[in-house]
Amino acid sequence: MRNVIAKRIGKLSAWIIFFAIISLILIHFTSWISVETSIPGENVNYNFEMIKNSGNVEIQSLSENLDFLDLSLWLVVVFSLISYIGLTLYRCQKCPIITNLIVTISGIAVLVCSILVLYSNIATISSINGLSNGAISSFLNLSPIKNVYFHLIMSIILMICTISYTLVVVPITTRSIISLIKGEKTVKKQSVKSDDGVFETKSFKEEEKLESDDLPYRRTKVESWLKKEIDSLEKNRKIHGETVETKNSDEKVLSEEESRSIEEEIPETKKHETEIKDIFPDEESFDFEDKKYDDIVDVKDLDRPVKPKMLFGKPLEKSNEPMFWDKPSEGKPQTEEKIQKPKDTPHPVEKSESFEKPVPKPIIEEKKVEEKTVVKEEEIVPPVIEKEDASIEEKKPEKEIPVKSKINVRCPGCKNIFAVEIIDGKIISKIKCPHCGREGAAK
Amino acid sequence: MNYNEEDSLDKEFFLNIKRDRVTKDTILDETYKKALQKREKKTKEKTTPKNKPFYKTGILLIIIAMICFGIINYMPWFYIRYDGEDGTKEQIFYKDFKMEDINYEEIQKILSSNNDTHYLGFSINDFKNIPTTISYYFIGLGAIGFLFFLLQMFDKKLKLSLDSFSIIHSIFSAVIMSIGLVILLIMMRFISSYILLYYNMPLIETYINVTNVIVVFPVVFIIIFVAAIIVKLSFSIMKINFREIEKKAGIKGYENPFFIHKNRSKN
Repeated sequence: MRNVIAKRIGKLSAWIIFFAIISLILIHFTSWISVETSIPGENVNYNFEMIKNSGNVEIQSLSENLDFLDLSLWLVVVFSLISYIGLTLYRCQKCPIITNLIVTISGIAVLVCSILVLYSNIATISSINGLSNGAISSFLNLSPIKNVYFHLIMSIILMICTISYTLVVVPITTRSIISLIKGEKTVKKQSVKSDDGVFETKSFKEEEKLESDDLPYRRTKVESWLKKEIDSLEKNRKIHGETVETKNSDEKVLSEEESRSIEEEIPETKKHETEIKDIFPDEESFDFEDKKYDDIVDVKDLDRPVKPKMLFGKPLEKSNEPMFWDKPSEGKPQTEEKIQKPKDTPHPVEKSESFEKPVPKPIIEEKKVEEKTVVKEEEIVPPVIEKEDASIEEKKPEKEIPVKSKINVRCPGCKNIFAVEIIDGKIISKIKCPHCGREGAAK
Repeated sequence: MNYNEEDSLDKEFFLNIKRDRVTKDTILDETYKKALQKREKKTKEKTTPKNKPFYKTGILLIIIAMICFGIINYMPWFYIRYDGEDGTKEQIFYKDFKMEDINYEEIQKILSSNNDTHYLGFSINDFKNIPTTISYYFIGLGAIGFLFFLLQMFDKKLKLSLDSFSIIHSIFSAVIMSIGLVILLIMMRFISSYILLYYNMPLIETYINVTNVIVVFPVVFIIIFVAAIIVKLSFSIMKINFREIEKKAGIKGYENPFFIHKNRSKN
């Protein structure tokens, strides 16, 4: 529920309570009918209590309508109070289904009761007009202004307020109830098997706890994660500086004939990649000390020439394989695949499509071990970093049919839950809430 | 200038630029950290209120109930003054409305029914019953106040969260509000007698032969004032609780820009 809508609902419920109380007071306060007496030109005015205690059967029959009016107004007050409490519960985000139910039921009940108030008002006016001796009492003996019209106006205002209230509240709550019920069902179905062989599911409470986490807490987590990541990369870089020499020395040992035979064995697509790699042989290692976290993609360093490979990994025209943003990105980095992968591939660097500097084989293994530990410690992973990690993943076969499926997402603003289409396990970059129109990325 | 010299100068120039950049980055990092710390402090201040709102509501309610109970029992309920045949007469009535106290027939006629119609909208029986019922309601209010006081006492040991405390608080205040409304509406019967007196004065003058009838209900006015305060206070308490929860949820300050997977699973 958006803040503006919540404020509006709170105000409307307050106005409903106010108008209901005022109309209740008016019912008991004003006189309803004036009855002719034996003295010509003299009338006796009856209020609510007098009508109740009257000995005249015709007048006492009016008390049924008035009692009904009183009861319905009381119900309006009670239900509006319940809905107000329900709104506070809604804000607490405790027992979402029950609170949604309370708010919807009370909202509908308030609307029904306000309709009943209007109906009973009209019924009493018609029954007073049907009296043989009596008539509607006028305000301060001024004949055109009748007391009953005040009640009627108040009931109309009350009904307008309740209609607007229900129109705002009920659609939101019903949607959220339906989505919550659907979400529960899907969560029950999707129980994923973990490494230990234990089935684990995340309950709504856990998710709500995650959602209700504070910003600083999240930021600190992300920051600590980033620091660890940067430290690990720095270590890798140091080791990389040592290993590159050895790798080069190994390459020198290969004779020209052997290298030709290897080149013949490599498929055409990979040949292109090797050629592209040779264009920038003296590429420097990426300096993380001088860079900010957000400016990792920035290549405008003055000491180095601007290279398109730093941004795109390899030219788009020559690569037929899907890029890293087309690949499926799961909630967390897939560490297992990364550990298995580099042993099979002769040049793991070529397969990495990110902007990062190519990393040799042994270093990747170390990095992955560190990543695994990090993943266990930190549960929250930002989406940008997921993409970085996904770059090291194994490539899929070229001609793979994209698998479409749906996933339920909850809007952080209005808590509306809706389905989002995913292709090959990848959620679209921007999601728009169909209810409040809020845009954001999936977490 | 040689080619090497030019090259060295360029290098120096670029190195200087790089140094400047490094210093800028360090300054930016420091300022960013400081801003984060400030924001953390602010959010903490926002999220953690100093005290739970209206902590002494229970005691306040008990005090109100006791004062009103005293007012009902010891203050005059009804004062009447009129001009009759024997001159101006006045009478004061307390809680136990005894018929023996009525010295004048005119008062009895005004309050009694004529063809089952009460000119002031209430009878002597109503006068007798209403104070007792209202005193019961005030006892009930006092009991709720005591319960609330006990809850507050136990809260020190139980240490309820702000959410649960505010929900209980709002439920209590809704009950208090409804009781206050009942009292208010019962008392409205006496206030409406003024209007009836205005409308039915010609009939009273013709039937009972009295003029310039003045009626005052001192206790009723006080209780209506108190009941109105109770209703207003209880609703304002509900509102404050609602706002406190809003603040705690941090809806005004921070909004989560990310959409969260409903069927997210731990891989």
